Amino acid sequence: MFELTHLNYATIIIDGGAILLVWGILWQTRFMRSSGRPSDRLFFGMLLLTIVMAVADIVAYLAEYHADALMKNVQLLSNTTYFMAITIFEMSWLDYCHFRFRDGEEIRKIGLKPEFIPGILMIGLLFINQTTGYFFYIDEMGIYRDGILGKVITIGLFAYFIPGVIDIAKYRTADKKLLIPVWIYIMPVVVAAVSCVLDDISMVTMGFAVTIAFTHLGTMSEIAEYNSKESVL
Amino acid sequence: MFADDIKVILYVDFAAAILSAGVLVLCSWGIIKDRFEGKIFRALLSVVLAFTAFDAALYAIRGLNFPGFRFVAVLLWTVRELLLIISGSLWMIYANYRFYHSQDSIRRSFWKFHIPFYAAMAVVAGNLFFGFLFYCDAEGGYHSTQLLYAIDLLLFVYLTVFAVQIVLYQRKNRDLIFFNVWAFLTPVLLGGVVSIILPYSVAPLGLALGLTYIYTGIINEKSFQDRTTGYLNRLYMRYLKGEIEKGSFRCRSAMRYQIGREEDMERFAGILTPLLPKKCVIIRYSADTVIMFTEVTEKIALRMMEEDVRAAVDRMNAGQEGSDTAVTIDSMIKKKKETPIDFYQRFLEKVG
Repeated sequence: MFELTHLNYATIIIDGGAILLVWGILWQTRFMRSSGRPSDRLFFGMLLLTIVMAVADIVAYLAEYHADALMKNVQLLSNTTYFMAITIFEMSWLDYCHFRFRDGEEIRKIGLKPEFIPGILMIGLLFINQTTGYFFYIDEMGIYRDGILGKVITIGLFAYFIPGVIDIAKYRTADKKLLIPVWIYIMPVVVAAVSCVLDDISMVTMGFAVTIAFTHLGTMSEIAEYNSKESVL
Repeated sequence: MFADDIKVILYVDFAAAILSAGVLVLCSWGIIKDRFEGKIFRALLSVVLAFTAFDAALYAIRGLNFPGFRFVAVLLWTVRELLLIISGSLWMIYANYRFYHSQDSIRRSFWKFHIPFYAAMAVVAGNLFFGFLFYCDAEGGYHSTQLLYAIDLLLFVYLTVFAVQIVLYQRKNRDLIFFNVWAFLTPVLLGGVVSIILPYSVAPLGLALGLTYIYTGIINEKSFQDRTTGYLNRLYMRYLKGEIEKGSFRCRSAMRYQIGREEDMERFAGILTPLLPKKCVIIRYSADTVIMFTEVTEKIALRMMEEDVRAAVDRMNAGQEGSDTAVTIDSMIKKKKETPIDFYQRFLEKVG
């Protein structure tokens, strides 16, 4: 039914690993049912978005190399969902960093902020891309191709990571409260993006999954460390 | 540079390497860095990382041809197999330390305990010369014999049986540990199954995922224990400052926590008790452990069939001060010759 190349297999296996990783964290955090903190809700949302991303990526790779209209549409929609999920993930990540690391500034609720305008614009353009193919399109053979603005997606989306990292870095410099170095949060996504640019295998979903896993582990380590100190009178 | 089927394995190994390296770094900064448990866990991560590197290396050199190539290939495969055996051995040490033995007993029984693994290592090393487990062709292609499958299967069964033991232990002592052994085993099992179904080795990714879950469990567990202790400490400080009054403290569920020092234990059992509301009781059940039961009712006490607890609840219901409700049940435990964990389990069973 599906004509999978080795590289398709690789992407599907890696995406499957990403789903397993994120599902494990969801399970470990008991699906965040009992937590009402904004940062937790954002984190929960990012976990779900990673699963959406991985599933969309798997569907897109399964549908590749099929020239019939149905499969081409499936691929188009899956890739659109994938990029939208990444966009919303990035916006959530920025909000998450603001909540956790902006010192002295109160952010009262999760919501749309001026800095999300590029992200919202990106989502709008992804809708337009359905008919224009500016960002990406599916060719006659049923293969994904970058459009004339293909690289803009990558650059535009990853730009959202930078303000978040700056938030963390400022917080770390000011208060020295963070135990875990900032680069460990961001490293997986950067490595994944670089490998994706260099070769055809999509490691991006795994990059996001590992980043979110490290963020969770780092946060939990810090909480455990503080609790440990507080428990000694 | 590489064929597509080799690329698959390289990328999967790459993902596993990033994951295990990141968790290793987090461990080096995190809460368990100085503990015996942390040392074993870091060793385990390092071995998995090395295993991943060797896995990638031997796939990367496949197809190359230079003098002595075949020997290099066999050597790499041997090291890979040895690292897998060592990781299994470290997993056994780790699980034993966490669930059954102390640090000292692990050290004392180190040699005796790992005889199967040393035997497996000797057999794999012997294969270098005799090739009865696996061998490489001129192109570095890997060929295993039926004997290797049999040995792998035995090791797998050995680890699974041990894991089931831990699951049974955990089921018996629910609420006492957050670590779930299936969190480790599921990715490892899936990795094994995928490696058999498809011609790609995803075992390193399975191992890395499993270890990530274990680390999550460790820090969750530690955080919970420290949080409850810290919470009571803060409560006590507020009491000393006069910010809270007797009977004003209310918590929602039973809490169990370890206290490192005897004097702290005394403080919790003796001084904090007056802060508790009427239907709440602290029970000391060992030298270093306290259980605080909240909303203890007469019905529960009757179910427990323990006279000391029932008497304490009677006193509470009669409206007496909370200080009388601290119950030391060391004698009760001694009388029944049970461990504190057995007692706790019995309590949970009776409470339902």
